[in-house]
Amino acid sequence: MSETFVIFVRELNSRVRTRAFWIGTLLAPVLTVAIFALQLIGGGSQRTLVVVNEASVQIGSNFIEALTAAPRSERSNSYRAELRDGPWDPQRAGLDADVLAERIDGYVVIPRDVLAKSEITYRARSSAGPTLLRELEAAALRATQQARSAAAGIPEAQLQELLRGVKVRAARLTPAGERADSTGLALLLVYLSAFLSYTIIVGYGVSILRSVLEEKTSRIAEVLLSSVTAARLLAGKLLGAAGAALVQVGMWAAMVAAVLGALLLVVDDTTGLQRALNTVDFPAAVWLSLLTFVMLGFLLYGSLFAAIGAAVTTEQEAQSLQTIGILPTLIPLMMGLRILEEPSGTFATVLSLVPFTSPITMPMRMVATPVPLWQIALALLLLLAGSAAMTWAAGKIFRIGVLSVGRKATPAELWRWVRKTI
Amino acid sequence: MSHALLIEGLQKRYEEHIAVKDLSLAVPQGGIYGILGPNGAGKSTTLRVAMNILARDAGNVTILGTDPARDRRILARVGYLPEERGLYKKMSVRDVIVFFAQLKGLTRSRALQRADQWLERMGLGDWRTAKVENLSKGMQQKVQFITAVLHEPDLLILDEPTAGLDPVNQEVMRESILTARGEGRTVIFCTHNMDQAEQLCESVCIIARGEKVLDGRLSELKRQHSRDCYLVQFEHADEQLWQRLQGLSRWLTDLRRSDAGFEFAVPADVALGEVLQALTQLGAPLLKFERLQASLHQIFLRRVADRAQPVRHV
Repeated sequence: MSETFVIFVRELNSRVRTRAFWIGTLLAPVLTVAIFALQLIGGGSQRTLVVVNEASVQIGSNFIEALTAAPRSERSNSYRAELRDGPWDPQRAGLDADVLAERIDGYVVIPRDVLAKSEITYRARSSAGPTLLRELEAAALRATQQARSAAAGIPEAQLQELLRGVKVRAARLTPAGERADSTGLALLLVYLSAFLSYTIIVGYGVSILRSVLEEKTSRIAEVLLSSVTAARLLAGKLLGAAGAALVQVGMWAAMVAAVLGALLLVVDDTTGLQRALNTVDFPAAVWLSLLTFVMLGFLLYGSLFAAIGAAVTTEQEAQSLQTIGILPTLIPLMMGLRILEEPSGTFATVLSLVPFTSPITMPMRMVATPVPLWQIALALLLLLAGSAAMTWAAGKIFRIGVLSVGRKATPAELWRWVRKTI
Repeated sequence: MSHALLIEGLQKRYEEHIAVKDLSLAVPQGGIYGILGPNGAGKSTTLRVAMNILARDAGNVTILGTDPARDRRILARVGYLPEERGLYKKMSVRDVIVFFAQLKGLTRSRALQRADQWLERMGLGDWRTAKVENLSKGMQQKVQFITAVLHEPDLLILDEPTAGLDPVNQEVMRESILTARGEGRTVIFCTHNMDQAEQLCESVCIIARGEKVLDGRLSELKRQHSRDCYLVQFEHADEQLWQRLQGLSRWLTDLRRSDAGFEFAVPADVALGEVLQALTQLGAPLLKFERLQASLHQIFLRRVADRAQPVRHV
C-alpha cells in the first residue's frame, strides 16, 4: 500500500470519524437556511412619530395618509403618526425632549417651502436606516405630488394613472433557451457557492495547519519522515483533507436533494417550486468547473497553511499568520453584492482571475452569469500555476520547518529554505 | 561482509554550525553497536542523516548496502526510535501502531496481528483500545518502541531508548533489545548512559563536537585503556579520606568512588611507586591496591572531557 495512501486514510479518518464532523455536517445546512429565513421574515418595526407640518394642511394629511398606509411588504415599518399643524420653533424643545425621553421614536418637519425645496427634516435618537428613509421619502413624494397636481388642476384619478408603475419581468437567455430570472434565488445561490467554497478552502485549509503543527510540536514528524518523504507526507495530508471536504459536500448535496424530492412529493401545487428550480440551469461542465476551482483553491490555500504550520512553533503564532492567510478569501465575500450586481464588470473579472481570490469569485460569477470561456480557462490556468508554485514552495518549507523547533522561522529563513535542498 | 550501516566522511552543517564533521563509522551486521557522546555531540544528527530525514552536505551513507538517499525502499528494513518521541494523542494505541506499521509496508491484517502480540509482550494488552493521551509517559515510550520493531526490521536504530523510563521499564526495554539481537538483528544504540552501553554494546563509537573520538570493539577499547586504571581500598573510607585523596591530583586522575573503593587513573609520566607511597602516607590502613580494567565511563571521561562543549542544533 502506498505511503501517501496510508497518510490519506489517516488524515481522512481523523476528520470524518469525529463527532464534530457529523454535528457540523448536519447543522450547517440547518443554520444556513435559518439565517436566510431570518433575513426574509425579519419584518419592520412599529414607529411612533410626530409630524410637524408648516406647509398646507392638505400636504400634512396626505403625508400621514401615505405613511400610515398598510405596509407594502413584511419588511416595511408600520407607523403611528400624530399630525401637528403649525410652526416648528415653539414645539422644538418639547419634541427634542420627547425623543430623548423615548416617548416618541422621532419627528418629521414638513417646512413651509417644501414644494420649492423638496426637502423635509427627520430627527430621532438613532440613525434612520435605509428602510425608514425610503418610506419617509416615498410618503413626502406622494404628498408633494398630490399638492402639485392639485395646483396644476390635474384630477386625482389622472394623477394615479400618470404615476402608475412598471414592473420588469427579467429573463436569462442561455444556450438551452430562455429561463426565468429570479434575483432572490440568484442571490441565494451566489452566497451558497461562496459559502461552500470558503468552507472547503479555509475550513479544511486551516485544519491542515493544525495537523502539521500537532505533528511538529508533538515530534511525530521525525518518526513519519523516517518512513515517508516530506512530499508524500504533504500530498497525503492535502488529499486526506480534500477527501473529508468532498464527503461533507456530498452529504450536503444528498440532503438538499432529499429535501427537494420530499417537497415535490408532498406539495400539491409544485409549479412554483419547479419554476424556481428551472431557473437553476447549469450544465455538467459548469458544475465540473466549479469543483475544479474549489479544489485547486483548496490546494493553493492548503499548501499555504501547511507551510505556515511548519514555520511556526506555537498556536498563537499560527493564529496571527492564519488570519493574514485568510484575508484574500474574505474580499469576494465582502464584495458579494457588487459581484452579483456586476458579475461581468472589471472588479469581478479581475478578482476571478487572481489565483488567491478566483477560487471563490469565479464560482460566484458562474452562478450569476454565463462567463466567457476564455476567462474561465485563463483563471484555471493561473490558479493551476499558482497552486503548483505554492505546493512546491510549501513542500520545501514543510520538509525543513517541520523538524525545526524552538522559535518561529523568519521570512529570510523561509526564503532560504525554499531555495535550499534542505 | 556488507555493513548494517556504513558512514564515510559525513559532513552536516546547520547554517553557521558544523554538527557533524568528517565522520566515518562502520557498524557490522548483527550485535549491538553503541554511538556514544555528550549532549550536542552530533549523535542524533548523524542518525537523522543516516535515515535520510536530513540531507547530508558531504560524505556517503549506506544502510544494508544501499544508499537511502538513492533508494528509500531500504528504510522499510530499518526500525527507528528517535530521541524526540511523538505519537498521535487522539488515536487508539492499536491504531497508531498499525498506522506506522503500514507506512513500513505491512498489510493492515498483519499489522493488527503483530500489534496485539507486541502489546501483550510489553504488558500493554489491556490498553490496546485506549487513546494514546491516556497512557503514562513510560507506556507511550513502550508503544513507540513497538512502532519501531513491529515490521521486524533488519536494522534497529534506537536513540536514547531508555531515557525517562523507570528501572522496571528500563529492564523491559533492555530485554527487548537483547531479544532483537538474539533474533539476528543489528541494533544501533545511541546514548550518553555509559553503564547501560557497557552492559549492552559489543562495539562503540564515541563522538564529541561532531567528530569521532574513537571506535572499535568494546573489549579491545577497554584493554587498550586499562593499563593505567587502579582500585584502592582502605580499612575506613570516610569523607575526610575522600578529601585527602582528591588532594593527590598530581598522581591520581579520573578519581571516583565505587562500591569496591576508589578508582583512578595514573598519568603516563608518574611511576607506580610514587602513587603507592602517596597512598600509604594518607594515614589510613590500605587493604587493597589492584590494576583495573577501565570502564567505558572512564574511557569516555578521559577522551571526551576536553571536547564536551555542545554544538547548537536547529
